[in-house]
Amino acid sequence: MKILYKYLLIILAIILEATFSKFITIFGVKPDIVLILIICFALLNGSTEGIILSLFGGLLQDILYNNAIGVETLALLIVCYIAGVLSTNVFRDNTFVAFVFVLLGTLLYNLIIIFSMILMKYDINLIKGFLDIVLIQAIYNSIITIFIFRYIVKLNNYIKDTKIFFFDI
Amino acid sequence: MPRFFKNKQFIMVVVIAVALISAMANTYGSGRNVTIVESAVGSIFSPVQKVFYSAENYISNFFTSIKQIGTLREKNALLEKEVEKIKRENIRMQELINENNRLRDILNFKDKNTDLVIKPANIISKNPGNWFDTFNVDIGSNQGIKPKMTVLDEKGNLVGTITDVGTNWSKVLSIIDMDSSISAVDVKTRDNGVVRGDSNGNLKMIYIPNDSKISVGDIITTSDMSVYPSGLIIGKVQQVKSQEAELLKEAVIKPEADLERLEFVQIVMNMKDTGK
Repeated sequence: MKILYKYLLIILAIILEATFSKFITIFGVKPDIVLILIICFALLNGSTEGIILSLFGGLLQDILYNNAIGVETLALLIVCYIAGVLSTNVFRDNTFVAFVFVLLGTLLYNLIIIFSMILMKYDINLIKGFLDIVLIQAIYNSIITIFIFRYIVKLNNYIKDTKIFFFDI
Repeated sequence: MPRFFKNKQFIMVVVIAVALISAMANTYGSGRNVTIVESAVGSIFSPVQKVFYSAENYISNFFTSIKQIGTLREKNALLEKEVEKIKRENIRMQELINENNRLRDILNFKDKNTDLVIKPANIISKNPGNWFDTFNVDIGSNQGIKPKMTVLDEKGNLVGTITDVGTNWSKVLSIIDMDSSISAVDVKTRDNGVVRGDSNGNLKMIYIPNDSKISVGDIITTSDMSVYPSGLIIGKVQQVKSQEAELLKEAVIKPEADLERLEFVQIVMNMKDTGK
């Protein structure tokens, strides 16, 4: 049942982000801890885990908070799948590698969200949104990663379970 | 055929992505009752979020009250003066309201604003992302909430509209979300326009005619044409831009409700009759 910890951690991150948002903003931008967690797990354990965790975390957030279901899930899915595929060619438990993955992953994630917002005909100022939100969030997220990545690696080694679901298939 | 088409995992990702895009297309747009699964997820999460959110408010109130101790005395004196002034104004206002009502009765008008039925609600969480401005409240279809109801803050300023309703929780789209648009009117000059959300916490009023005398400080309310009850205060004009080329004016509006520090909201239970 150690596998449960991973999912509980994601649920806890979602709740904390949604309720304690006032304390964690910098320049009005919130970090995305769920995104960091899922990219790190995809980096450590490969693309299958990336797909499953991004569906779990993304759908949960979309159902609870977002206007159209699938906006965040789609972006998370694509980012974590790519992270999982690329992770076979790098040193997986190196903090610098995780830093780069989260930095590029956050940029791609936000670009996909902006793209789907344009498809939904949102009136959006691209350059201002990019400078004000995306860049700051990418830097913020990757700096958080530097501090928490070794603990994620420890948790991952502790879990070390081949199962990726709650149950056996 | 390229090699990656034979990769089963890639095909799976594409299939899931297509499913998600169609889910987006189906669920986008406000005003639907959520499905059983969504409602259940929300019902499990909302009590937990309620506890965390009130803890958050408690902590932030504690720190702000420490910060404010120094200025409290001056502020108190100022406020007392203000109360005196407002009391006097209030009496005058009451007289005007009575007179207005008499005149209205004479004209046979039906006043819709004075008989709003209101239900209080607590905010339990805010959208964790940076792109959308939505939040969740702790009452739902059990208490008679329906999609498209209007949400006000504790002073009666416009905050947003209900989009999705679960059994004991509902999602609110706030007026500063980029997806929100409200038909509005300037109280002084009677110029009509559309108020839209801006990505940085302000509102934008567009489609104002170029010859209008709208100026900084004017109060903007919902108009008779909007889906909201008319006469609700949206905000104050902060800046007016005129675009010579487009023959229209545009105004930046500061919302009157403090959307950063909301804790309680009021939900207007009577829907506007749209004739449907």
